[in-house]
Amino acid sequence: MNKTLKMMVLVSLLAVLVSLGFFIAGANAQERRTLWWGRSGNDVALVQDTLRRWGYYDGPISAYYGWRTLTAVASFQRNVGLPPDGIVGRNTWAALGYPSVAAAVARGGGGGWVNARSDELDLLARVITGEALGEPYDGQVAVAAVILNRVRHPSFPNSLAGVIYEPWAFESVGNGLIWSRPPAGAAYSAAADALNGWDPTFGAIFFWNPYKPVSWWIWTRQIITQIGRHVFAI
Amino acid sequence: MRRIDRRWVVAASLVVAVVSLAWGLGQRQTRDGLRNALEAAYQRQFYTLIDQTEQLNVLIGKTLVSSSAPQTVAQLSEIWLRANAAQDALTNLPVTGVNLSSTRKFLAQLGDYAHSLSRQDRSRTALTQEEKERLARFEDELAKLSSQLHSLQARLERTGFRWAQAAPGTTRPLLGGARAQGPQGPDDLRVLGDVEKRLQQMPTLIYDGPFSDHMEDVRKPRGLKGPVIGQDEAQAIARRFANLPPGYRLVGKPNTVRGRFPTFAATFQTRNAPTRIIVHVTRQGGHPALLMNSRPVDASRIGAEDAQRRAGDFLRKKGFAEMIPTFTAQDNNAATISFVPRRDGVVIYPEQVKVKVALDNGQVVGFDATGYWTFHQDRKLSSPRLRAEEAAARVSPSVQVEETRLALIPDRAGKEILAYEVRGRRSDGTYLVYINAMNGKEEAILKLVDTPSGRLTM
Repeated sequence: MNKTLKMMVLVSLLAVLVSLGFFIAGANAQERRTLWWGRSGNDVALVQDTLRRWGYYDGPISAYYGWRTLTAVASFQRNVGLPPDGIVGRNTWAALGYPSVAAAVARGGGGGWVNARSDELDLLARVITGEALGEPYDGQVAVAAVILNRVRHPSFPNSLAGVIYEPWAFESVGNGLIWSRPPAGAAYSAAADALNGWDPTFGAIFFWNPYKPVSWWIWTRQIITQIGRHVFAI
Repeated sequence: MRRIDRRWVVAASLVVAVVSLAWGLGQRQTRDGLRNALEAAYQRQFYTLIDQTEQLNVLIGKTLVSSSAPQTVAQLSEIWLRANAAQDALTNLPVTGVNLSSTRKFLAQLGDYAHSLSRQDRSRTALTQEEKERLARFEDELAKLSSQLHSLQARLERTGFRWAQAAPGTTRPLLGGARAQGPQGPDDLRVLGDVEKRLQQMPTLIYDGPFSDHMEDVRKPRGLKGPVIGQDEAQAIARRFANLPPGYRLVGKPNTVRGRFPTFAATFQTRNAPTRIIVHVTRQGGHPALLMNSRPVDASRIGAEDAQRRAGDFLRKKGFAEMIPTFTAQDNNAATISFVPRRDGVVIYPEQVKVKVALDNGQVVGFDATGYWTFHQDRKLSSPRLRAEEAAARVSPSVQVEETRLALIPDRAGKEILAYEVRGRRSDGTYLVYINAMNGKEEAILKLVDTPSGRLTM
């Protein structure tokens, strides 16, 4: 009878642990893990984004470390003089622009700037990372510019948060990526440029991915240009 | 391998089943709680929309009846407030099946129009006949909108509509979830589509405000002169302007940018250095209008004044004469400096050029002359009727005047005004007060906010 009891306790503990696993799986680690083939997570997405902007990687930002990511990393490592083993460790992270010193590196300032617009900067950087990870730099600035153009447009809310959090306006808000993806370093530069007035679309208020299903209505808008995987329209 | 006793298998399965069930029930409870909270938020927005629209309806009527100027100004201000609240509430509703941009513009324009009316000089008359007619038009449409919102509310109440339903394609409601609360779908909100169609027919409204229908034309470039160029010429101009380091190649063909400011966009990239350089050249006249260099910038080594000097040198080399720096912003080890031309002693603010300097080696990594090429033109400016001292005297005595100079500034509706820019200090910071050089009216006030990353104007 004792053995039965012990077995039941063990099995139920296991079941509880499995259920708990559902909760923990959602959390993300923001430290710099060592990455290799088969890993997945937001840091893999960050590597893919950086290498894509630099021309080493041309696949999708899948957050999964597959074959294409491996060859891209090895190619990058060869170019910067690191052993091309396809493993993203401390040195490779540093070469990608993410040294192991944590926090505030993304902001790029040694003295910890307190920017009077830091709330706008943070919000825009998050949206850029959520919507345009892997896009060329001017595509990221353009996405932020679309948001700022909407603030000034009568058909849209009158504030930055209003435009961004309008129900169903942005995919990365609806699926939570805006909060779960830590903003990439370049996103802050792009956000700052957009806040300073840069707009490579000169007035667009819509953008979408033409290869993804969207409402028919948006195709009736006048298209200004295409940058990377986004079409911009007014 | 020992045969596993059937009892253990049964026991284990039972335990797993019970735990899974408990977890599932817990999840359902969480989901329902969240859905209720979300539904409450959306319901609040819907009822706010109905309430504010109803009040707007009444307010416009009162404004049209009133013959007292101070009362009119108060009512117009309240219209502005409530129209903004209504538009905000509308943009917070998860309406997917219908596009409501004309309805939202209608509410925003009503508020902005009322606001611009309230800012005018009302000392002699309450409202002119034309202004009354325009407001009456808004009142007509608002009455219809209000009544349709009321009938929509009644209908949604009857059918048990819930705003917080899953959008198509994202999550599937559990069996007996959304369905159990009554039939719902885009049909329920169809009446909003009728409202939208009607409001698309609103006539063009031109007035003194940022949401006026003429603002699109104001932003059309008038500084672009010269022959229209082709893609190859644009490429050559872009290459020359960007002063490319060796190894940079053009990626594809220059992209065509249509719309208000037509350009060709050339992107240059190199395999060994991780950057892209994008240059926009205007199609008319072949003027370089935008440059973006995305290279990561290392820690700062040069200071703000040095950066400003380099930016000025860059502009002079590129043919921009008489430019003076106005504001600097510093983000991420790069300084963005705004320049405007000063001609015949007048600072021309609309013709702005921005230069971004990397603070690690002083290289120019950004250039934006969109403002310049949009507003650049030959102007015959009239002589100011006031003298500088008279303008400075009109500024509040709580401000200690430091400098006064002539400037051309745009008003809220894009019209250019010749004004004296009076810079002064007060206990809480520096202010710029713009006094109209013709009639002495106070046109605008800007506050300069000093932050470690630069000077912001608010």
